[in-house]
Amino acid sequence: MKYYYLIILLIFCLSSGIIFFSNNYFKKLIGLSILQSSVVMFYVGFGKFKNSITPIITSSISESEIYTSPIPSVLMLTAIVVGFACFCVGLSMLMRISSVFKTLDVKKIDEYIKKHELFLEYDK
Amino acid sequence: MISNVISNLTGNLIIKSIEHLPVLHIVIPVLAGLFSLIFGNKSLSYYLTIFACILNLVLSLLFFDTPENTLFYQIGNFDYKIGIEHLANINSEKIVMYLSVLMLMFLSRKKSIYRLSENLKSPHLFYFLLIINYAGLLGIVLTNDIFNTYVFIEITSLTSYALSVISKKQNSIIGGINYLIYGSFAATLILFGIGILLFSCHSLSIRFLIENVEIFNQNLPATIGIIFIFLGFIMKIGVMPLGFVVGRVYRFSSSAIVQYLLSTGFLVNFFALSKFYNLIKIPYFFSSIGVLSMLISSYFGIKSKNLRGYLTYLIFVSNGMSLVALEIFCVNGLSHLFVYYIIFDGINKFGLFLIFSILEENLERNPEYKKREIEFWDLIHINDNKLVLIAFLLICISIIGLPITIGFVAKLSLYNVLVVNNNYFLLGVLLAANLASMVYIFKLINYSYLSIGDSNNKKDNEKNNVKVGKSIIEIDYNSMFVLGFTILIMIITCFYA
Repeated sequence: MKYYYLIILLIFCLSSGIIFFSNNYFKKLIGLSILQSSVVMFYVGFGKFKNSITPIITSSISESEIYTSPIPSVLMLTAIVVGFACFCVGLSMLMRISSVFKTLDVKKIDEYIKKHELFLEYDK
Repeated sequence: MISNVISNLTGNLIIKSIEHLPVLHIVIPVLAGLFSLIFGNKSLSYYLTIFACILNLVLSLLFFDTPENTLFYQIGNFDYKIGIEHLANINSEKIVMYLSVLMLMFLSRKKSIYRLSENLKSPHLFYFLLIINYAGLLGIVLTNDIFNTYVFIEITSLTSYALSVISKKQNSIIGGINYLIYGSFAATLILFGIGILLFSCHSLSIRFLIENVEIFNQNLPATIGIIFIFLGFIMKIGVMPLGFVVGRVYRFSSSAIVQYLLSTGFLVNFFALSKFYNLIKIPYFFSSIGVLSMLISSYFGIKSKNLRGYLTYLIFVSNGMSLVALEIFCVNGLSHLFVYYIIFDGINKFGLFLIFSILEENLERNPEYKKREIEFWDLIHINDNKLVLIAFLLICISIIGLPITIGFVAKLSLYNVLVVNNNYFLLGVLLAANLASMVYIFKLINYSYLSIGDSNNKKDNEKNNVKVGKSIIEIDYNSMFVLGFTILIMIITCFYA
């Protein structure tokens, strides 16, 4: 179980690195999605106890059985939906950026903005 | 007979409304948003948004009229330890009232708002985004559940991302995507912190955690969880060095949108932070970050040659000060004073960006100025209209904290608490920061008012094709009303305080 949390921590740090140090907006967005997944894995992990079973009541299960806590998983349903919504909004923004600047490279876009004196108008 | 029946019915309706008040505040704008989406009409959406705000304002006023100070509301009648609970108290209702008034003032500038919404293919969606954002903000204020706070933060954030890119300028989309990436990163930090908190405390009810605060204060994982939540909020609010996220939005987005986001989002996030800070008080955590923020922002602000960048750093200095105020007021059990502090700060920011927005809109309409960004020397056009000039000077004096303004009242209460607690070191630091903000503001006043006859400035104006004496500010009646009302609110609240 300890290794599980270590792996999550590793994914968390790596995806944070992608967000901050990548030079491409699409890669940053993917990094964000991985980061959110690592947090979801963290939640699901602490709901699980040693030898616990799926929290569904059936006639064959005795009362002494230990169930996995369903609360973290339920909470994560909301977080997944919210994360997906953010990802979609981000993708739509990237489509717009790509059509205006013809690139998703952070440095090239910054240079383009400086060159055009920070003031461009959308085509009607 | 009929009047008795009507008064009975109205009385019952008011009582029922008060009972369900914490959730009604959120349901009303959500329903308004839903109807605006269904009908798809721009004007109807506009009036629905106004109606929802007025209704919320009336509900807040009704709450102040009742003898109850605190109202808990368990959704689905679940026990607060396991279910979602909302809380309405005097502090939260003050914030709700402020948000409603601010939203109404923002919507009162009908022409500007219509112009903004015209940037979308379906203009009614602008109002949908605005009202859902408002609902999310109210949710953050009223909820008493930590995970629910996260959900409302995300609702607010998603709409803020979309609102921040509504502009004629293509650059705003760059501000928007940066806001989305780093804003979502901040929200994920908050989510991670909530996870650790749930792991160590087995409940996400703020009421339950406050009741057992002694146990959780000695719990290391809970403290780590809270630190993650704090970091997420600090990143979202715009406190340096983590505040660079919102800095790009302030630089690139439409100034009317910045005006709205700045005066509402900052306030609500600070209020939520104060709720969390009451759980685990980490000594000198916020004051050190706040002082660091003030130092870094002052340095970058003085170096900034761009007016928007300059204003952004000015806001960061102010946010740093609010962070210090949060710790000082909450440690001493003066949360109600902190609420006043952030409301006054919010009014100042709203006013400053309102003037900036009026100036920018007028310059954009003028063909001579259209193809460049607004600069320091453009501030000279503030002189074109006496009302704008008076409002600008009043807001500047209030931001500095000179008497008799709301900024003065807010800062006086902060310094008073520091003197009572013999915390002279922090008092000295804050006074120095106040002096720095004086230098900041003086530069703005100098460009706008004092240096009209300055020969250096004349050369500057000739070089940049600025025509002094040629009035370009044509302020419409709605904007004039909002500006006048802002001044009125500043004066009334100052005397009330």
